[in-house]
Amino acid sequence: MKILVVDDEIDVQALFEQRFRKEIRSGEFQFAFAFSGEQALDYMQHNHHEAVLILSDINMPGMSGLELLREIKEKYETPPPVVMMLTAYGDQENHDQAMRLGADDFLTKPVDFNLLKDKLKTKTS
Amino acid sequence: MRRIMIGFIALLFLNKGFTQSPLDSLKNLLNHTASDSGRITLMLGLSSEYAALNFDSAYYYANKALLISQKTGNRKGIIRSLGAIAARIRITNIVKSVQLELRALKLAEEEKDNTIIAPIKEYLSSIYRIDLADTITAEKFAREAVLLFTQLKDTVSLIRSYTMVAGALTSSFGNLDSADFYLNKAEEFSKKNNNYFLGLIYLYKASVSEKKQNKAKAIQQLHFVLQMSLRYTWHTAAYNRLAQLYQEKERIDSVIYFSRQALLLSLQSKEYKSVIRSCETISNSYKSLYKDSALYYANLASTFKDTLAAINQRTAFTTFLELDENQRNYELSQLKAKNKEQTRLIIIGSAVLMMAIILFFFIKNNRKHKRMNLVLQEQKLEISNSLKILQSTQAQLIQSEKMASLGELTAGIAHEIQNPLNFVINFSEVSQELIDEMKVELNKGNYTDAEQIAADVKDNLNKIHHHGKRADAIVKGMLQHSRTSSGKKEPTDINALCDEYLRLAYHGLRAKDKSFNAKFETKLDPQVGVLDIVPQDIGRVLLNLINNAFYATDERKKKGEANYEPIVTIETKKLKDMVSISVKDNGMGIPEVIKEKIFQPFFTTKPTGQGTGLGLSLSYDIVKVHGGELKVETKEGEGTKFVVSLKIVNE
Repeated sequence: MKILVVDDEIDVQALFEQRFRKEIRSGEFQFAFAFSGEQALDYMQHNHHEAVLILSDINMPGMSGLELLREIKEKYETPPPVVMMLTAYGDQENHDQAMRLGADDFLTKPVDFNLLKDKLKTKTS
Repeated sequence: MRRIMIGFIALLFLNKGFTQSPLDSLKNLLNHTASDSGRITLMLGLSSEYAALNFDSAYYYANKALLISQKTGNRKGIIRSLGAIAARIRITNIVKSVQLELRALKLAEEEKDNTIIAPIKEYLSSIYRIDLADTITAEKFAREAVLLFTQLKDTVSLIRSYTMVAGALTSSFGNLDSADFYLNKAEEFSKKNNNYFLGLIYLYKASVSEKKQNKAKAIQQLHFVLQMSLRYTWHTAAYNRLAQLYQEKERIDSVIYFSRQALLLSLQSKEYKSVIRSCETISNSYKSLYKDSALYYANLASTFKDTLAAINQRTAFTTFLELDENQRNYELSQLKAKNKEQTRLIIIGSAVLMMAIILFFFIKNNRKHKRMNLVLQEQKLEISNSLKILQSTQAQLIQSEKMASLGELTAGIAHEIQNPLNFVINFSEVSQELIDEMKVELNKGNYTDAEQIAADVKDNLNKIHHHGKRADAIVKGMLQHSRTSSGKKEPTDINALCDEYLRLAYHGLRAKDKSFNAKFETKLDPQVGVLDIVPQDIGRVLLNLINNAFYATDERKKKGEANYEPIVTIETKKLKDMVSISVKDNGMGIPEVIKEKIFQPFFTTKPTGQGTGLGLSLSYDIVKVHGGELKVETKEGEGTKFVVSLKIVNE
């Protein structure tokens, strides 16, 4: 099962690869990375059957995570991929807006990776 | 003939004047004029020109004209000088001013010269209306003046006295339509002549409009005053009224702008009542925005209230002296009357009396001169105090602008620190797990695996170090920003500074407004390297330019244009002996009309409460202090580019 992580911070890739090294090794999860909303859409276009779950930051230059969320939910109707938002701004307004746009979950940074692991497993099983 | 010529030229300057610098021309003429009456005319002209600019000089010239008139026995000169002095001290000593003016009227009536009587009546009308709040007497004097000026066929003065009648009618809540009638008549005459009084006429028209509850029209008319009129006193009045009207409309930026203009002018002309009113208005307007500034202006107002109280006290004192003097004058004239009835002894007696009178005037003048010197000195001190206060106001405003921009920054800073801290926490946690794993592998004897894990841990420690440093730099930057500028230059990496402030500005705006978004890109020339600058100051300039750029793109985005992609670009370039930093947006561009004003303090196009209007003027000053230049290139509908050029100084 493939997860697309979208974040403008490049070190996020190293972090996920280490945090999920056991799952990656066992083949339980596969990760792909995009560093902007635009890159993520591009990836979806070319590999859209692969990514089952998208984990996106909200606050990115250019296309924001919320705009990405809207695009994905509009374009890929059947079946809509699971999109989880991950942001440093855990305020109500951001949360409500993400939920209105159809986000499947809303997590705040700093990321609790154990919690994230559980959520990923339940969302994808 | 020469005298007439000089008088004519002087009159030309008084009435039309203002072609270039009337003060210099008058002074120049004064230096080349030998005849006493010519000099008197020129001095009175100078006094009137100085009236709104510099109280001391205005007073000095009026008084000198009086001395010369008395010395040469020029009765008309005495009358006109008395009138001029009365006009100058009207603000600081109203009682004495009225006394002098009434005395001038009496002397003029003795002379039976309507050309002198008419302007005095006109002036008295203004005093009775504005200072004594006696609109009935004011209207009477004004109507008498109108009659005299009509007889004299003096159109220019007639225009003025029409406005006086209208003014009296407006103040007394009297017949507004009648006031309108007089003003229209004045406007008609004024347009036929030199338009010089259009400013004053519109000032009154605005007041009639206001009384008629037509505020929009009043505002329009007041703006017309600012455009048309060259008289500073009319400007002050217009600025004050505009501030009040905008206050009713709750347009705080405009209120502050106009009050400050009024404040600056009235400080120059020592109209303390206007100073206090402006300070109080500004203080009230700042209350919701910047408490510090509000408090500052409240303090300023109370300082000037004290000054005014001190002046009033002095007025009471000098009035007492003046009354004493009047009494003596009266006794002397009684004596004179008796002497006339007597016979031969009179000749001897009157000779003695003449001596006495000469002595009396001599002593009086001498004493007056001394007193005036004292007053002049005091006034000089007050002006330099006003200047100091003004300067510290500016410093205060700059500091409050700094704190406001710090507020804009904090949200960006919070986000910028949050991200590196996440990495520090996560990478250190994962490294602990890795160490545990490494132990297991070592126990198993899998040395290659253990080595691989050790390399990963080292990588992680590097990352922790990197992100720790990142957070550190942000905190340092924030501290530098809030610090009162010590003005210390230090070698600064220009590209890093640009990058840092671009990110701070972006995240700050994002934090404030969730719907805001824009692309940004950097084109940084690695040749730029390090420059000797005050980093927090140039940083503030960049922050301001970048914020404005984002704001401009956001405004355009909100218009809902199809296919519009907001983008802000920051570019550095090394030129021959300069480094240029440009901040470019693809917003709406700046209209030509506004372009000239953007560097003026308090000019802002942002809605109330969103901009102080100080950002660009402050930026401009900072760049100037660095010996650089701040320029703007803009095209309506295409975008704007601000370019900061800084000199490379070789060590």
